[in-house]
Amino acid sequence: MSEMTSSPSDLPVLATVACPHCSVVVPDARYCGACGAHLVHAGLRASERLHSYAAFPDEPVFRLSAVTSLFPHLSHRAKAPFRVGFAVFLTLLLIFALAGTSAPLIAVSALSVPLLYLLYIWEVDPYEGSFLSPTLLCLVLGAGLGAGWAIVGSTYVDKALLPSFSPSLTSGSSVVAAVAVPAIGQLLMCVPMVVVRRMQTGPTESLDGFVAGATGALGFTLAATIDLMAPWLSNGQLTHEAFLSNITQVVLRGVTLPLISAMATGFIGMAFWAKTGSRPTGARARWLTSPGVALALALLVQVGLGFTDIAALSDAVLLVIHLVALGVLTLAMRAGLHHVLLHEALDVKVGGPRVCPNCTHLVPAMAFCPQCGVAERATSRRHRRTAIWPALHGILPAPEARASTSDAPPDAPWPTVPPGTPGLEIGFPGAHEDALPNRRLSHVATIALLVACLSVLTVALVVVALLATPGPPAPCPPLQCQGPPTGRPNGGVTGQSAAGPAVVEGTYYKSPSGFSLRYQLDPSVQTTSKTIGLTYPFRSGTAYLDVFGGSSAGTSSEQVVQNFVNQNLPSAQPVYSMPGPLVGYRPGFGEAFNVQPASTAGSTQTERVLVLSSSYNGFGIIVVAYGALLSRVTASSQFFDGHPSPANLNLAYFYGADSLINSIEFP
Amino acid sequence: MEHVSRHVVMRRSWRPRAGVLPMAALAVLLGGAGVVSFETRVAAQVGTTRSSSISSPGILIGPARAKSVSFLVLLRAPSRPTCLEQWAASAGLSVQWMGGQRWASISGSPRDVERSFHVSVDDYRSSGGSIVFAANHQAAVPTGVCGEVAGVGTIHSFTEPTNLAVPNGALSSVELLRAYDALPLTDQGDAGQGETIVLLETSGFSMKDLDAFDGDEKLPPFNLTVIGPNGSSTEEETPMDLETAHEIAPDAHLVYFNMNSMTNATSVADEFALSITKAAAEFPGAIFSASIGVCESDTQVFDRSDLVALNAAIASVESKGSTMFASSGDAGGLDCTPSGDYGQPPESSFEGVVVPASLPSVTSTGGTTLTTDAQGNWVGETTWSEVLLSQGTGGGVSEYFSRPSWETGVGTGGQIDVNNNYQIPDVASDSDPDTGNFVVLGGSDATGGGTSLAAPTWAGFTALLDQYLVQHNDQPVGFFNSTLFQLANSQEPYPPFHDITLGGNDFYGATPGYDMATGLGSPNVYNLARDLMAGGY
Repeated sequence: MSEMTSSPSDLPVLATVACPHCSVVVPDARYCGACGAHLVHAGLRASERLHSYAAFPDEPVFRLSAVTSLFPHLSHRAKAPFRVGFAVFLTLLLIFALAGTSAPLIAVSALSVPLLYLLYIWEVDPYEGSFLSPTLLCLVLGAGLGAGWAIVGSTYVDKALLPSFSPSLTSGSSVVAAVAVPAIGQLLMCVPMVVVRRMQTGPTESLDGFVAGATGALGFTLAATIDLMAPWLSNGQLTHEAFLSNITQVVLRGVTLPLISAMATGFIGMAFWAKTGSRPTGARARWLTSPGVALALALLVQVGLGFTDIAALSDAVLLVIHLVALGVLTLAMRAGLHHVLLHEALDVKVGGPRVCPNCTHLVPAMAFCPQCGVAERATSRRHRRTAIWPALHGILPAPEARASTSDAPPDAPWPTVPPGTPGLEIGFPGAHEDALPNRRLSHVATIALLVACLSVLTVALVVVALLATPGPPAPCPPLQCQGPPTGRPNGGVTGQSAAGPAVVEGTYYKSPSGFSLRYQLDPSVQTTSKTIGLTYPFRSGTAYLDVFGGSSAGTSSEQVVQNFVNQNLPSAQPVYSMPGPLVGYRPGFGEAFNVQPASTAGSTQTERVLVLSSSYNGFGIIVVAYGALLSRVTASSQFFDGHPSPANLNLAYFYGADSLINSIEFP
Repeated sequence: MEHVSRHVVMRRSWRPRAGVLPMAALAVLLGGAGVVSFETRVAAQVGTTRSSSISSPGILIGPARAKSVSFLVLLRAPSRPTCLEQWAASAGLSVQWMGGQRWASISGSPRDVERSFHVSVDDYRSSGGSIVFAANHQAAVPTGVCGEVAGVGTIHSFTEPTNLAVPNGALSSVELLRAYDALPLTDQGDAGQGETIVLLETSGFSMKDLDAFDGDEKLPPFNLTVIGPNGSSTEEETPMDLETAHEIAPDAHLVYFNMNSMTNATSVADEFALSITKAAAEFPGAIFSASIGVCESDTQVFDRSDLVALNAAIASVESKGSTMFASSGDAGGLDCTPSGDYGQPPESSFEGVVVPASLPSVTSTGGTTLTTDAQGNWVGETTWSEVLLSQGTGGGVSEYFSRPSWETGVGTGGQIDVNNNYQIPDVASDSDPDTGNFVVLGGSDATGGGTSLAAPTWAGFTALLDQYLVQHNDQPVGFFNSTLFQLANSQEPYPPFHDITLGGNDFYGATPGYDMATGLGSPNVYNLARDLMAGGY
């Protein structure tokens, strides 16, 4: 700063120019301090400045960056800890997904992005010192709505994800699951932001809306993620899933969904807050700043992802779709945010000297930094209001003296330097970084706080998993746990409360396609001309038994099973196959599968699906049994009726579904 | 459609378990007018001739009117039977074969089947009114199939869509004896006199249950010796085992042997070996029944030495006239659930067999679902398997024991068992808790079930067989397995087994001949007795 040793009176007069885009007389620097247009380049692109994002001028508008998109207030140098934080977060996800540890995976995927966002809000202080109330309001209200909607919405999504004999993305249940559930979810995410808007009284900026919207959305996804991933906790410390399945689940629920929701809702909030005045500006594309456009974009993305949720896609495909959607939304949101900042109605006077928090040059306070072009409103509020004088002592009048002359006239004396850029009249002297106010949190403290919070929450979830998981079954010494499955002489197998005599009892159903069967108790029944679906509710989860009858000419039972699974459950993992189960007392083929629907709005619980088929006279039957498993493990269990056993479909245990399968009569 | 109407008739008239309608009297008029005597021969072409008997289906009506008849054939190799398919197509029949399977299903009109297999397929009316079709004799392997077919299954509709069930939901003592054709032995006074059955147990029983059972079944009191403490827990296993052995051989001496009393045993194998050796010393020539199974591949429990030693200990006991039965497992072949995974969804890695059933010296008993008429006459039998419940007959291949020389015949070794190891079960009998025998357990009436039921059932029948053989100056059966396979692989005057060809557990299907779901099949006890005596085994 040797060039700044002269007294103020020695300083040259601030050179000015009338901006060719907004016509305001501004310092003749790289950027128009009033409208943000690039003054070096003439023409339309200079006013749109697509090469220079208004929140981070050193990168273009269209760049896929999570940190600079989600955290627009950060200064150039404050990005670093958040980038490291993101890297730590993704590394932890990868490690825990490889290890398949459920509690850390849930903690990291649910909390990392919200935690980073809280650190961001604390750092940039968008609410002018009142950190707690609006932030917590958004977060808690969002979380409450998210938890509630996850419970309500996931039942529709789970239902749409069931194996179906006639899968259709246009059926009623599919439309509810794919359109209504995500659309209502998106609208609910906006509720916290609207509440905060109504409570705010002081002057506001459009990016306040972005922060409020994003916070509410992150609260929403946090609660939904914990809610939907919680079944992993009851499986113990391990997810018992393959790596690809783990990584898909956590990237979707921990990365893409929070980011998509936060950006989409933040965009809506920003547009909702924005007061795009009549300020003359060369920038076009004002439509991008409309709340309607923002809401439409958010709904489009959410509904699109809703359809991918129920399309029973493989993990890899779903992952790619989500990442592409995140990329597209990021670009769209950045374009919107950029234009909101360019269009926002602002005072256009040339202010007093200050150090730009982004480029750390001593510049006149204006809507856009004349040196680097960053929108003032995309900088930390704390930086803006904090004194910057100590480092510049002796160069400019003391702050007290300047308090009454905060607006520098265009012809005020100003410390300038050769611009270094051809055609520019002036450049501004770089200030030492000490001139900037201290950050609330050092880089190291930011990362440490993130990791500490994640650790605490991971430990908490590990404890929850330990409490929620039934302990390992009591060890059964060999020769100590023996017992035969026995029955009741008047029909039914001991412990199988409702299972009656093998075939003859129960409600008779004759399908229009020709087959018939008998079912026990009172399930909810859905029929078509070729199928009957029985749904039984259990405390441990709903169970389903679907029977399809139709021509099987020329197709072996094994092929019938394979075709059904390929068509309906592409992600099903074969567990074991049965060469000769009886269906309607006809020899057939059966296979057991594990299915964990790749879905973001459904449960993470792995389901066991058994598909059986047999045929007679060219008429084939497919039986699909699906649903909750019943554990019968110890001699003390009221259900114990045999050797220590693997789990079984509770459908079979309580409703004698094996008997139902043989009650089927072929036409 | 005729099929439908026939089944409806059967359904209406035959509700043996509902207890609502009067029992249908599906009398099988053995020896009555119009009854055809059935004898079946299987697989003469593979050098093994064995016979099986099926109950007469009823009164002959005339040529079968069913649109289609289907039955199984056993293939020599698990590859596509192209020659059979061509032959069948030219004969108007269709073949359904699933990749990798050693069997195929043949279907066609009764007339085409008659022409191609040189049988007569006719309809019969039971006294209950139902109409069933059946071939007049077992079909032989047709010529012109390039040797692809090893055997032909039975051609009949006895077990077509019917209510697989037994009277009153549980078989009485007499009905159980009748179902497996043991009444001819007991009718001549054989009730196991002089025979001893040792039931190896780990749980206890209540005398009240046994007394109540005797009262209900009108049986003589138990002749029971208790070795070791009567276990404090009174689970269902022990009373079911005792009552089952007792109702088949009421005059046999039963020994309740609590294996947990072998407190000086250092391992599970040791506990087994000590128990059996001690009991055999005290009761020479006794028949053993163990309704117990411990996963063979659980290396924390057994190693090769354990099992070889235990097998030798049992073989030594059997060389002195003893026979031993053990249940093959109740988890449908998923009998090796690691103890940490109890209650977890079954995985294919849970596949495995159990000790002592997996020992070649032990006759392992698999499970079936039995169908009888109202009097208990055998009508049909399928594999006991409830696939949604992961429950059913255990079976598979031993990891430790290679296939003994006597385990031969259709369905054994070769491509079915690539390791050429010992396959279990050896035999089977009723194990379905829906069709089992009447028992009293813990003061309540119940139906026995599980392959746990098959072990004492076979032990009881063996007491009758031993008594019959001794009465006819023959030796007791002793080590039974080699004899059972010899019987199955030779042409016997009386079919000793009901070959079970329908259904399958979680890994193996029931096929003509031997299979790893139901072994050689369930017994026809009287036929078995006469074959054993005639054959001088």
